[in-house]
Amino acid sequence: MEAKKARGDIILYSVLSVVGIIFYVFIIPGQIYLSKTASAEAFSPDTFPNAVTILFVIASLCGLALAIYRYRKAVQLEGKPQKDTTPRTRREIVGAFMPFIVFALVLLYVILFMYVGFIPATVIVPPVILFVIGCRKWHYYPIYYAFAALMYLLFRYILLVPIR
Amino acid sequence: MLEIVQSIFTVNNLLMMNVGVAVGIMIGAMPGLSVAFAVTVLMTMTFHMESLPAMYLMLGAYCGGLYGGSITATLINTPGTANAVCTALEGYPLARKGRAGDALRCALVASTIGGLFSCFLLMFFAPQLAKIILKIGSPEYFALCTFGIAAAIGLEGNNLNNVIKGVLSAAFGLILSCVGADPVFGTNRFSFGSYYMLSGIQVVSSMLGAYALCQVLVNCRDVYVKGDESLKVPPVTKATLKFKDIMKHWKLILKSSIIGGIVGAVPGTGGAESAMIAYNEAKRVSKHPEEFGNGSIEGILAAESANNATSGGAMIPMLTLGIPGDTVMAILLSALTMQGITPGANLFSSGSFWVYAVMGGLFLINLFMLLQGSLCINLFAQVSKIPQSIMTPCIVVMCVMGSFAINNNIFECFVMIAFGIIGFFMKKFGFPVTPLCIALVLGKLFETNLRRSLILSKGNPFVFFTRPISCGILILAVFMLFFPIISNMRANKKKGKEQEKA
Repeated sequence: MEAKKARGDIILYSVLSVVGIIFYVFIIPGQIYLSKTASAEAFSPDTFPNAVTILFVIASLCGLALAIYRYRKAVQLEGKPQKDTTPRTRREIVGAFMPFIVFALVLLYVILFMYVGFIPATVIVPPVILFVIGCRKWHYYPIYYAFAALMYLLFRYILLVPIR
Repeated sequence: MLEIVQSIFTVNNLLMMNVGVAVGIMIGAMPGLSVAFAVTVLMTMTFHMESLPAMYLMLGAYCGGLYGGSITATLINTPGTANAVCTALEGYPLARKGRAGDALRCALVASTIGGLFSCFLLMFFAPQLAKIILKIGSPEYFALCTFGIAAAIGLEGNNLNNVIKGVLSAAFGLILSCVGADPVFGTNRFSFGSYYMLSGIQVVSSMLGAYALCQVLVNCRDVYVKGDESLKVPPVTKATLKFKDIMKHWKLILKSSIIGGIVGAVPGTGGAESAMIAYNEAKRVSKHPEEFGNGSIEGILAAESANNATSGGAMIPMLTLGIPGDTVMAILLSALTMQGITPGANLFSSGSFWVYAVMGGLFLINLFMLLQGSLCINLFAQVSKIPQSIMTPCIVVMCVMGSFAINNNIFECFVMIAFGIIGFFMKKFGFPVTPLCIALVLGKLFETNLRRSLILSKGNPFVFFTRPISCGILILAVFMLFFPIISNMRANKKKGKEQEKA
């Protein structure tokens, strides 16, 4: 178990180290334009982001070294990690993807809000989320609509948010 | 003084306090939803309110949420929030003996006394601290920011791997705080050509994503796999213990409140830690330690008074230094800033109206909590029956509406969604979210004071170590970062030795 965890951490820290280096080499110079006055200063606008990114890369590399050490130690104790062969139900397999499905639906909700307006988007998407996560009790849907209507009235007419 | 009292006792303020407390208790009573969630969600409704009722609404939710966790902890052995873990250890066995009413009354009275005590602590210590703060300079402020971030990392890290993950999380937060115009030259940083990115990342929308939407993404898997069953909550039995019976333990309540207040004032700690310390201390000095774990009234009183006493304690560094001790304080700090109020020593020197209004409000909120808890406990217990599935779309709508309301533009909704998925992956890979949020809030202050210190010292980085206060704070920060690892290693060694002996 520990070996599997440590192996996951090796991958994770490697990815973070690479991301940190890419950020330092490409993103920071590309996204912070330094004027002549600014670049002449000892503490220019890119000093702080650079310092924090270096800290990020160092921490990732430390994590990587630690994960490699943990992996070796765990392999010595319990052997190489085995593939998980526990049979999983269809519901469990789909369940693993559920956060991403819901995330995609929330994204769709905001895009619809942007293009067709708040009311149509709210009528369509959140009930789909409710359905997708497995709710088959019909009376939950009117409860949701009542809540959404209440929130709309609160934001639109009491808090005066120009939501359309 | 009269002006402050008059401004507190308006219908709108009193209503907001009560609404905040009720919503806080309800959300606190729902397993899986935290106090931070309650405050974040309510904050979305405050952007268009006046500052005082807005603050009372959130403070009410904070105090109510701290208490609300004890309801499900007692009735179904499921702490609504992490603060109520110790309460569950004693409350549930009492409920099984048919004394749920007694357990809940003890929790309510202790919570109220803890909360009231913390108000006095805030009233006494905050102005004194503010006087000292006025005398410190940029290096000390930088050291304080470092301390706040280090404490948030140390809180989550009981081994080296977790500390590294905390550092990465905080570094990510600091990088995100750089988005927008540079504070000195006004240079655009990481705007990626977007007009909206020029003003930086709004802390509110990021927190809505990292706490509220992320919770939806985490819970939806369980709802789908385990099905949609509501919790079976037993009815609350009538309490037989009277107020004077509870007050026989006044020394214990006072001691636990002091522990809660002090622990709460230390950045990086919160209700869960103070409850645990007070609970262990109560067990250590108790005349009946055998009752602990089997339904001890003393255990409930200690844990609940301590966790509610953190509310005022945690506000001391937030109001005086502008440094949030935990996530809820980070949210309150950003809410204050959005209302145009800048916490810090100047808040105390410029009339202090706002500070005393907050203190007075906190006092009243605790009294309302006692009132609502006494009258509506059965109703609050029933709220925890609300199934997660119906909560999911409702939270999504609240998140989208709330993030839109920040600046009345859809861009904030996308920021909220981005932080939702970031928070989800962080949780999945074991990265703590608190250091990210604290670093995001403190980032600008951190950078400005670092820059100012280096400019004043002509680029000498040792300026932080040559000044005694900043050096002392930095040493404390290192201690906070590694103390959990050291104490964990010592505990493991001790355990190993005991096992060898056995």
